[in-house]
Amino acid sequence: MNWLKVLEEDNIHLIVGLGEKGRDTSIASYATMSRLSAEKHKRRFTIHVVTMKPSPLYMEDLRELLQSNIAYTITVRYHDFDFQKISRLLEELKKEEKIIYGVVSSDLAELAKLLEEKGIPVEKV
Amino acid sequence: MMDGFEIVLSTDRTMMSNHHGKEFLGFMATGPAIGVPEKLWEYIAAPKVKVDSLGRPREAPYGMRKVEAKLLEAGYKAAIIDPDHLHKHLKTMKILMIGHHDYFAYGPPSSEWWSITGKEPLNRVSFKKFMNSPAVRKAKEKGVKIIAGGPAAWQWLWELELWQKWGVDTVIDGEVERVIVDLVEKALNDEPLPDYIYVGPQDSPSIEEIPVIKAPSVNGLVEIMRGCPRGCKFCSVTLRPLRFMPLEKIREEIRVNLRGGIKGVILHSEDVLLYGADGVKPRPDPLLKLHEMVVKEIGEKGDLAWSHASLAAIKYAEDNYKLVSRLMNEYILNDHRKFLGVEVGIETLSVRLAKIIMPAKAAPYPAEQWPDIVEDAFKIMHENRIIPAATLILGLPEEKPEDVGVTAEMLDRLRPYRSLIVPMFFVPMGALKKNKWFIRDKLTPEHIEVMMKTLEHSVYWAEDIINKFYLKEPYLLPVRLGLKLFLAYVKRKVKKLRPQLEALLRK
Ligand code: SF4
Repeated sequence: MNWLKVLEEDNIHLIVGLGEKGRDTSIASYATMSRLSAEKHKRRFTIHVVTMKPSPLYMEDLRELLQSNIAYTITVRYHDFDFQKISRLLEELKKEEKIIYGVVSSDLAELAKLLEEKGIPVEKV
Repeated sequence: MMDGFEIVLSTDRTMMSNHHGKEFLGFMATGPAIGVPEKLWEYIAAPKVKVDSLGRPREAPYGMRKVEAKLLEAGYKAAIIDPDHLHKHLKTMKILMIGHHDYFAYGPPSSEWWSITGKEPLNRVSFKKFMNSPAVRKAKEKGVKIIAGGPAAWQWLWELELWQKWGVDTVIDGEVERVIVDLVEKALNDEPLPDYIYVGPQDSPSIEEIPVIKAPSVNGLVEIMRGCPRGCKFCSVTLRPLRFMPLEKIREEIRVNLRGGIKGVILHSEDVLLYGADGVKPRPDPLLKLHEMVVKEIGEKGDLAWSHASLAAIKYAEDNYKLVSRLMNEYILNDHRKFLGVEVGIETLSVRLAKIIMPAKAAPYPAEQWPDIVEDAFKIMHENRIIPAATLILGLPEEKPEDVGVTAEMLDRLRPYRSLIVPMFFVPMGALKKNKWFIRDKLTPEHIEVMMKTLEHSVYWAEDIINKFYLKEPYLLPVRLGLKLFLAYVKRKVKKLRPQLEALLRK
């Protein structure tokens, strides 16, 4: 993927699996972002949304997160619920040595498992 | 003739208009037609602009001009096109960029009008009409990418069905100069784009990265600074670096406007008096130099306005340096420029509430002095022929009836000063989405008292302003008559409503 210059360089990639409790997952994601920002001294995030909800309707779950943020640069990218494609994305991110973190709704256990198999820390909500 | 534009920037009529050269009339687009036919309302608020043969407007919204300039400097064939002329560019258009101050009427005062009347405000109706127009629909069918930005970008988060239906590819929020060229490049190369982008404070452009506009802005608006030193909580503007535009850059933009036939300047800033300031304390030197340069450029007959100023800065500048009167008497006022218009925020006249919602607003004075600061600033403005359009906010979650009661009482102290006072009702998004007439449900007798007082105050002074200062140009006679018609309607209504509301207040 050709990331956006400036905004998606030197940032943290968050894989957010939005399931049934999408809103809760999104709120938990913001807490994770604040923690990671302090830990890694970074203020830019790309949120990779993985969900069965269509785009851009999934944004309803992210709305609170996006509206309460004024401090970080955030880009939101949507991904189909296709594990092969997600695997390729994760491989690419790892190859580029990006910081990757997962926050996943508990009903998307398969996705959480996939991330864990790739060695990505995952928070289940 | 040029080959055509691959990047077209556009928006609906309520934005693509010079409002007859009177910025304030643009505010009428934030409400539905009241008391006059819709066509007349639309004509008063947002008349069509002059365009060239390609449909490029003579003047266009400033933010869009900045993006256009950035893209032109990067070598793209980009242009702002009037909404009525988009069809001329369907063959070459690959990206359609749209911008707005208030796409869906969720900002104040649109949300308030909407909530009171139950009718969709003109700006919302007009934007929907634009997005559903055959030209925009055809562009989408052809695979044109749509990128939406501007200060109201966040509102798309509340209109996901429309976002989906209209096929908007990316919504971008924040200051975009540093990143827009790359985004456009990726869109032209058909690379996957983010759905949403928020450009955070650390990615704000430096002064060098902010281009000079290449063609005129609506009513000659030019930006003199970005950022705000007040440091209010939850404000994204204050997190961004404070940047004062150098005089050279401001002068260049004024010249672009003058060359394009615009006859005046609106100095734009969150607080014009803080140009070159020491924190929140205005300094004479930068302000005097700025105004000296501006009036030299626009001449005796050029119009001049400030976009916003804070009441605390007005008082501080006058009390310490007689700066407001110096600016007005030495530079601004003359036989042609008989007054200066500016937007100011009162928000509340209750010290208790002011301390909670805007503790830094009174600085460098203590928040306890807020009502006196407001009155002093109003007096200074009145004496110096500055006409403020002031806002009040009602219905905040922290508000108590006593706060509104104090505000109502204090409003009497402002009555002698020429001004318009507009109460804005805080409308939570949830209420609007459910299409509940939130304000009607939440109105207290104290709110009604404040609303009636501000209405009477504003109608009284609006007549005085129209009679003495505003819309004097002969070609504006129809607008003047339209407005008078509207004021007469409001007065009749207020007279009829008064006894009913007083009965309600006694209950
Ligand atoms: S005065 Fe306005 S712009 Fe400045 S920090 Fe406060 S809310 Fe933000």
